[in-house]
Amino acid sequence: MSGIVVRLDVVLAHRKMKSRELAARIGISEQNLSLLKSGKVKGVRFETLAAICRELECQPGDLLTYDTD
Amino acid sequence: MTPMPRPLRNTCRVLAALCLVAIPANLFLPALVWLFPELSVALIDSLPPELPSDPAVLNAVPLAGKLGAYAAFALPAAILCFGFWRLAAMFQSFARGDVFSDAPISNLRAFALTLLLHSLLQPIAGAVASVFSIFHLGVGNRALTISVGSSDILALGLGALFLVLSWVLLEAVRIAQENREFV
Repeated sequence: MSGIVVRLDVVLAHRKMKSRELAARIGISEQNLSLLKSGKVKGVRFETLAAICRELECQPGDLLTYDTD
Repeated sequence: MTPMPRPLRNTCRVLAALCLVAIPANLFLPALVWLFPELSVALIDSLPPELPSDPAVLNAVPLAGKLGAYAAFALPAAILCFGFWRLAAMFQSFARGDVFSDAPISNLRAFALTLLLHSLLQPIAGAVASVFSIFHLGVGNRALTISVGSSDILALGLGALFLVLSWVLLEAVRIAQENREFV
């Protein structure tokens, strides 16, 4: 099934940062971050995306990819 | 659940209780007027304008006529009672802090629809009741009376307003739900 794949867990592993720490830094709940990691959300606010990119020093394209399969 | 201030919760509980009290009152007070016109002079003024407001005239109506007139009003009264029951359920939901969910909104919509239906049926019921209340009179003295008062039009307007409000609330709940699915 094609769709957007969230690669947040991969980027977190590269940065050696725990989900709890990222959630605290960007000001969202661990539960919401977990939902985002598993792709079980309808959307991501630009504000959240910008905060994640700031804390993980990455680009939105590093976090989200489009899967055609 | 939405946190509700205590006075608002209490107000909702009182309003729910009043709605429940209105159910038997709406069903049985009209019967009281028909059975004991002299004892319920104060209530006679609340009868529809199609019906005689003089206790003596009401007393002269035979029992079959009284029962027929009461039965004519039974359908709109039963519909309004159902509406009050749903309104009570809505206030009970509010008192629990359950404001922006499907249950209280569907209760509001049901009340709005019953109010609309009641205000449409009430003039027809009044006309039927007027036939029953004058049927014992001789030929030439009978008349079919149909009346639409300002209270009927007001009820119709309120019903439409509550119906639109319930639609708006439903849309607001849908948007809030969608917003919750964004992180």
